[in-house]
Formats: sequence, structure tokens, C-alpha cells
Amino acid sequence: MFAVSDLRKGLKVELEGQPYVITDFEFYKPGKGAALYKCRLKSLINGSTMERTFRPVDKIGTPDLEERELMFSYQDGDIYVFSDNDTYEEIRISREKLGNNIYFLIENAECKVLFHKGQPIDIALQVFVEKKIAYTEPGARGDTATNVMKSAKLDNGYELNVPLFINEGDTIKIDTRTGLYSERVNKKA
Amino acid sequence: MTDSSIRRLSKLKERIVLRSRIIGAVRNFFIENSFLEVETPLRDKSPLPEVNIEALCSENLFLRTSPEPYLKALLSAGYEKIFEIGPCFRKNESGRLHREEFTMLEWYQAGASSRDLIPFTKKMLLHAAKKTTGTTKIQYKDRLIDLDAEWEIVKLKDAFAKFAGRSLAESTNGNFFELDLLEKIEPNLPNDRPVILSGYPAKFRAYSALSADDPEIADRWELYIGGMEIANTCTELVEKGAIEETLRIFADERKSKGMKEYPENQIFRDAVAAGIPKSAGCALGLDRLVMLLTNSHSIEDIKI
Repeated sequence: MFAVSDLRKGLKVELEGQPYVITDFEFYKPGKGAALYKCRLKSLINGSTMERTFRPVDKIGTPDLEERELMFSYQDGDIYVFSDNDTYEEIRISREKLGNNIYFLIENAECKVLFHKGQPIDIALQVFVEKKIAYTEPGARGDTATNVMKSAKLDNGYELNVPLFINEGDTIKIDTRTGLYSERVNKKA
Repeated sequence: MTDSSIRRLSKLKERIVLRSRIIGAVRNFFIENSFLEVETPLRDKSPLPEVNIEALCSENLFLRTSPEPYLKALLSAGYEKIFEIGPCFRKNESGRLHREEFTMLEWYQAGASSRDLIPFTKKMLLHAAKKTTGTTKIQYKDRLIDLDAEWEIVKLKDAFAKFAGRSLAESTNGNFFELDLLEKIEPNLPNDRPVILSGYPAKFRAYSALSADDPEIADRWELYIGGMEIANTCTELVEKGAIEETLRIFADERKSKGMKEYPENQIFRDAVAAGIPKSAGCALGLDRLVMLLTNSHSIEDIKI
């Protein structure tokens, strides 16, 4: 259990059985009364946010969270199989829970998986992955502007916007946290 | 490469200049109105106990949470109109409107009641605003506030009945008073003019007298401007027996909440023994007044 005086930005708490992270925090003390702690909370399961103000008499739960380093092994239909290099345990995570992360998984690459009560709820991949452009319309010759974007597709079907100078076959860096184009990678032939 | 704290101070400069002018105008107003400026000790062997305020330690002493005990001793010693501007310290209070070290303006007037201080407080704020911004209509965030408009007096009992969905007594007894005040009452207060919120439950009386008509209600009011609580004003509790009982109740409440036990505050005991004259006092958060007159979002924007 946390006391209200433990509350701060970044703290992970449990409310009504669900894990949340405090994203914003403000202290109030109206009318010579007791302190109040107004928090903005983000669900660690679905990302939804809410506001809640805690009083000193409130008790706040500690979530049962565990972060494990896992390695992506292989895909089995809609299930993605990860392995724990320490315990050799296999962890199976559904496509639905991984969201867009499935497009950036690389075999044998390490990632961090957050578990709540033993269930995987979130995954953090390496920040940048390199991917090859499978399809995009050719840009106009000599157009090197980076602020004008066009659509492109990876060979796994992921669609994103890239600058006009990117061509089919180019390798680009993608930020896995946002799923957005980051930069072109110059690969030596 | 400039250090980040130096960069911050350099960014603050314009507001720090305004701050100095605001505090100067406030000080002049008190002096022009025959108040005596005093400086009382920042450190003492014991703070005056309050139920929701914890003091910071300084060696084997405490930093004051307010100048109240010394200013009341001065009242007992025959000083009739006094004010002090200076730092006060409250442990674990920090946020947009709070800092552990903040600047308090506190004044007392012998023979006055809390109501008598309303017109004086208004004149003082009008003076400070005019001298520093040139107008009494101030822009604070998205609101235009007319400091010279008639100040609206709101009774908490009525405000709770209208906005809180439960009565003031229900809210107080159920430990929801502060929460309802913050989330249901404050957002519904008029925001185009200053508001006097009055009729606080006796539980939140601090050292104010109780209302002559209703012993469940403290004789004190808080000034709200731009949604911010700016000042607290009390008709002071002066009867020896009532003060001693209050000290006992507060000590017990502090103990039951696991707060620090303080030795007896000697200067306050002496003031009570000598007899505190009938009086009223106001404690005003000067940092918040500066925030208001400089349209600043946070105490960090106006304080070094």
C-alpha cells in the first residue's frame, strides 16, 4: 500500500485492480484543511487516462508488476513466442496485445515485457529498428525536402509516411515508440 | 555555457522587478495606514500547533510556520496595528501554489473583527494593483478580474448545498470537506471579481473565534481571486479558557494523526496569560498575490 505522501509523477499504482502510472501530479491544501493530491493517471493496460484526487485517509494499492527481458523467437499464427534466456521459459503473447509492435519485432532481439499479475501487458522494443521499403511511389527527381511526405509500405505490410526522396529498396530507421519514420540508412552495397 | 539556475534567474528578472514593486506598494499602504512593521524570529523552540501543518526543523529549533504567536504577543503588549512581511516554512508543501518556503504578509488590528478587515483588505489590494499595473482590472489566465467590483460574499453552507451534492456538515463529517471545496466549490465561485468565502466549519478554525450565532462555525473568511485562495482572516480567539482547550484538542488530534509532538509555545502562552485583546488578523500569501498581478501560472515563475 502507498500513502498519499508517496505519490509522485512516474509512480505506478493499482486502483480497482488495474495498474496505472501517474503522469501528472498537483498538490492542494484548501481552507486550512488536509492536503489533497490531484493525479492524472494512465492505464498501463489500455493507455486510457483519468483524473483522481486522493485524500490523506485514502490508501493506494501497489501493483503486482514485473519487467522481464525476453527474446523474440518466432511467430505462430496470431501468437508471438518469446523466450526467457535465464529460465528458458516460453512466453506466448497475442497479436492483439502487441499492436503495431508486431511490425518491428526482430528474431532473437531483446525486448522488455511488463507483466501485471503474471500477464504480459506492455512491451518495449529497442528504440530504433531498420526496415526495408517494399513499396513507395517514386519521388520527383532532385526533391530532397524532408517536410513533404508520401506513403510507403514495408514488406510485412506496415504503412508509414516517408520523405519524398526515399525509394523502394531503401533501408530506413523507424522509432518503435511512435511507429514513425526517423531517418534513411545508407547501406553500402 | 550558462548554468541552468542562472538561466532561470535571468528569465525571471522581469517578474522579480514587478514582485519588488508589488511588495513595496503593499508595505507603503500599511505604513500610510499607521501600521507598524515588525520583524519577529524565524526560529523558535516550538511552533504554534495546527492540525494540518507540520514545521521544518532547524538544528534544535523549528522554522516558523507563521508569525502568529509573536504577533499575538505584540498585541498583548499593547501594539495595536502591526504587520510583518517575511518567509514562513511548511514541511512537505510543494506544488503550483505551494513552496516549503514562502512569503507571508500577516497583519493584526486590535479592536477589529474579521468583517471589519474586508474593506481594508480591498483598499490594500486596489492600491497594490494600481501602483504596479496601473489598473484595478487584471487579466489572470483566461479571466478578466475587476478588483474594484463589489466583492461577493459566499457562505460555504449555501455553496455546498448548491454545488457539492451534500451538506457542509455531511461533507465535513465524512472527511470530504477539502475534496468538495477543491472540486465542487472552487470551480463554481464567481471569477470576474474577488470572492469572500465564509462560514468555515469549526474543525477548520485554527485560532479563530467561533461564530457568535453558531458554535459549529468559525468566525473567519478566505479571500479567493482568480480561483486562488489568497488570504485567511480571523476574528481572533482571545479567551484564555477557549485557547487552552483549543491547544489541547489540536495536540490530541496531531497525536492521533501521528504528527510531531511540539513542546509548549512559550511566547504564545505568555501572550495568552497577559491577555490577547479583542482583535482580527489576516494572513495573505504574498507569492500568490504576485502571481495574480503578474499573470503567472506557478509560484516558481515569481520566486527566486
